[in-house]
Amino acid sequence: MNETELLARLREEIPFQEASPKAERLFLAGLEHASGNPRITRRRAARWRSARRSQLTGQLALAAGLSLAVAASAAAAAGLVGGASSVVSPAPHPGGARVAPAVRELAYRVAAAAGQQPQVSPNQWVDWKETNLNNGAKHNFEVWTTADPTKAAFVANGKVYNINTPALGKNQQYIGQPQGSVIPAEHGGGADYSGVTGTIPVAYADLGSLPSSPKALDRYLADLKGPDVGLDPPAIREFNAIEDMIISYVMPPQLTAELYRALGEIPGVTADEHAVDVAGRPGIGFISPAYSDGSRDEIIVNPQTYQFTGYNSVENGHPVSYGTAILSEVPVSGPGVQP
Amino acid sequence: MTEQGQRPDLPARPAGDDAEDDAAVIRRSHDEPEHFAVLFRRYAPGVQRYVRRRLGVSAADDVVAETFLAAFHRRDRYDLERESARPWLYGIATNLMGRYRRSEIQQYRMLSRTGHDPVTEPFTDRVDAAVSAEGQRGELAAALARLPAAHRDTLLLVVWGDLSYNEAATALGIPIGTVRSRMNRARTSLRRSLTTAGEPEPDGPHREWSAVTRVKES
Repeated sequence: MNETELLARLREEIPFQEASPKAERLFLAGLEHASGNPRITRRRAARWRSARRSQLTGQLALAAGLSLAVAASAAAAAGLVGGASSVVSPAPHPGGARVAPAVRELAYRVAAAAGQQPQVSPNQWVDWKETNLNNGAKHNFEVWTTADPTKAAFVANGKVYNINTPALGKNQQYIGQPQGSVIPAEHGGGADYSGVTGTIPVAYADLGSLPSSPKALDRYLADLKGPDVGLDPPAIREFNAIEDMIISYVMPPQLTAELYRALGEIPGVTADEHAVDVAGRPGIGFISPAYSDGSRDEIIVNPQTYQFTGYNSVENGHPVSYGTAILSEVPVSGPGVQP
Repeated sequence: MTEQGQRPDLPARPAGDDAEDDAAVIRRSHDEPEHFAVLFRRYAPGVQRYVRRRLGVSAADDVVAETFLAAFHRRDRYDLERESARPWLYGIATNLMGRYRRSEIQQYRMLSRTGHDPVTEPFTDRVDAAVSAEGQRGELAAALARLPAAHRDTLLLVVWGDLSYNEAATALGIPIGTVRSRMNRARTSLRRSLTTAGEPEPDGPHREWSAVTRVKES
């Protein structure tokens, strides 16, 4: 037996089968998003499944809203869906889906959108316009960072001021974007910076070494050790790591897509189709499992484009008191340059 | 290297889908985007099998879906003179698999070192078909891991993807001469690995060596 025949034998060990339900579901979700017509895609999927006499009837009932998707999954699991063309009534959706398939579905849609974004190099400058809510006080600001946020700058009185990120100290960096302000001359002059600081467990330079499959990526993130990685449960550590990267780095689109897919595989992550960012814009949110104090973090995306639009911290039973809304995020040629 | 439709285990297509070639499906999908799903139905099983063999079941689901979504987004650039989209789709799948190169090589190395093939685990009842080649699977896997990525992609598109040399050239966007060259080099590399493992090469250098020895003695 020659080498080609041996090689062919290895392939024969894999059976020729219908596309897996997961691959089909992911493709149809992406096609729906791309074509912008959920009803047409759902009809096509239903006729297709009927023709193949599949056992998947009802499982792929892609609805226009998350609440429909949640109800369809639950009904299918309970054996209540009788055929490919069954219509599932919307279920009440109090702001936190518990059914994992809906979160995974959302994650893959967001990943598909993220994967279509243009490539970016680590030293690409980006102009950010944001609204920040901190302890109930809201503040709009503009800042420029490189994609790998090793450099940052702000503009005041027509002058560009560099924000000295190395001054934060070893392994310290801004989580999200820093804000800059000018110190009045009577108070000594110069510039001041503020923002959430800490250590993102995966450096920008190491992003390429992340596992690509969602579950392997989650395990990897849960196992990371570092000064800011505490004793939270694995699901919290995974969510935190992904959140920090999404809000701080401007990454190659495929990496961003992989992070969103991994987000959808974290146990306890829920979807919120009634999310609102601190700029008052409606969105869809990924809500973290609860921290020890009952609070949760939320990553928000645009409900139409699935673009990242902001993040909140939601305290147990209280309105949002901390959060950032990304009003715009645009690549530019240098610090201080307007799009 | 059979064309779809000649495989005995291919499921029956719904009436209406058979009438159109792939170019017609793509052309129609410009006005009816959902019609692109016909290509998924036609080619996803084959692409899935090819990708599963290289990356395993779990990663294959993502890659298969992404392949057809990427194809959908690029359909404006598809050459409608090409009736079959198969090389195009396999080329996209191969390109997407580049992200998983490290894990693919790790699987070959695992097979090489331990004899355990993580890719076939879900299908263990079929592994008996390869028992007779058990001893050489490890060397073959190690040789696959050592191949340059471009050679491995070309080789596996032909052997596991069932593409002809012409189709592989189209899939990879390279001249057919390059496909032939890569195939020769890849096969030679695999053959040497298997030969080193103990099996004599039937028409190999042993005879040439003997001939040179005789010339020197005279």
